[in-house]
Amino acid sequence: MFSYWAEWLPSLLGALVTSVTLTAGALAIGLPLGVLIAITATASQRSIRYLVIAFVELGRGVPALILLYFMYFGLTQVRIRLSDTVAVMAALGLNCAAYASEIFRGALETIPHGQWEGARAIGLSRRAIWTYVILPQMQRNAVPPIIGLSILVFQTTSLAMTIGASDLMGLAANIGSVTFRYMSVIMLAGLLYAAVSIPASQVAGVLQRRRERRPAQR
Amino acid sequence: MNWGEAARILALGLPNTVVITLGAFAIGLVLGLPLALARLSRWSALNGPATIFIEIVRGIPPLAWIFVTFYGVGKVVGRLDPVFTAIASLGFVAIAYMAEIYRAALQSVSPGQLAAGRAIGLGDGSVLVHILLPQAAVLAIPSAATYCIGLLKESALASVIGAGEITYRAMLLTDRTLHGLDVFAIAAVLYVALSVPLAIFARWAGRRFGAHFRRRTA
Repeated sequence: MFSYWAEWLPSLLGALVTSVTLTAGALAIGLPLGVLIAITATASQRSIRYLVIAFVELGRGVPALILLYFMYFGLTQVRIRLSDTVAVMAALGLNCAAYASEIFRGALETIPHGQWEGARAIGLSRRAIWTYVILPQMQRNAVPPIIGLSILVFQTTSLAMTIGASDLMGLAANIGSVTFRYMSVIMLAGLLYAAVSIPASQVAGVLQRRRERRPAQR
Repeated sequence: MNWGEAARILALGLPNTVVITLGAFAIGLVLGLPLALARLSRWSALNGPATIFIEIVRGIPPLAWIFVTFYGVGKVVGRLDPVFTAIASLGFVAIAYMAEIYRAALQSVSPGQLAAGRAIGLGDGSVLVHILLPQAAVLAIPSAATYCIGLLKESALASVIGAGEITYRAMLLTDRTLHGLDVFAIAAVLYVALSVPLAIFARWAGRRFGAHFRRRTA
């Protein structure tokens, strides 16, 4: 079972880079969108708030695979043909935005109300309050769960294989179908996923504990 | 394209989606607890392997576990039923995730409860069964319900090995009608409809038991 691993490893490592790129693309869409949604959710108009909640619940309630098929197979119905890379980044990006917005909203809620009042009292504009007071403080609370979310997005890029992309899982399935050694090659690909995920989650754990030990100096 | 007819065809996959979700959840619910106890054990012979098991299972994407089971185990014991494969492999992953949920719940039971149990002369086993577990079970409900929603969405992965659940039927219908936009939108609505009761329960349980817990330990 292991004798082929050395032979497969170089090409699988190449595919791992593809998977990491897909993850980066999805995060580049999802995280800014998530911040935007979290900020919008604080809007005073009720209609805007409900719209945001509906988007978040939809993004979290629909399986990532359905979103991906919607982007890749569904949009062809209206003559929009996305490449597999774009479809994966867009689908996982939207999915990620919904989860990220909840994380940012949670981080926002931990900021004491006095921060807002103080900032307003010294005459900062709404924009300046967000940029210089609120967002920097949100950041430290949001980082550990965002790393956790990124690991999840990374693992979810494995769905790319279902639309024929050559990500880590896609290439492994390809090798499997040529060599009929599915079990062996998918185990190796799985271990490569774990080799990225496990250290990343350890880092998130360390950051989380450090944050809990030393609460914000206010 | 007739939406009612399409919805009726997709709904044929509903039973399998529910069976896969609940089957995998039941496996995690039962086997996750002993794993959590092993993880928290003072003996490194128990908590070492338990920790490694949890980290590796969670570090590898569920899709990889499905393939390993379907092709790997299937090669040894003969062709496996896709629904059975999905329940077994997602259930296997659920054990690790539920173990972490149980662990968090067990650790958030106030240490005073343990001390009090010991003080009135209960042994380790009695403290566990009569004091820790009943409180931890209640505390685990909101996270477990949230995880169950996650499993509902992961059940869509079973479509790649041909389990006839909602996503698989959506794929077939799209192939036949080329109306992917409508078909996957309907599938998305079905998943959201399934997750809404669970989400309401999770939110209610979070408020109900969260408050219950805070009141008692305050």
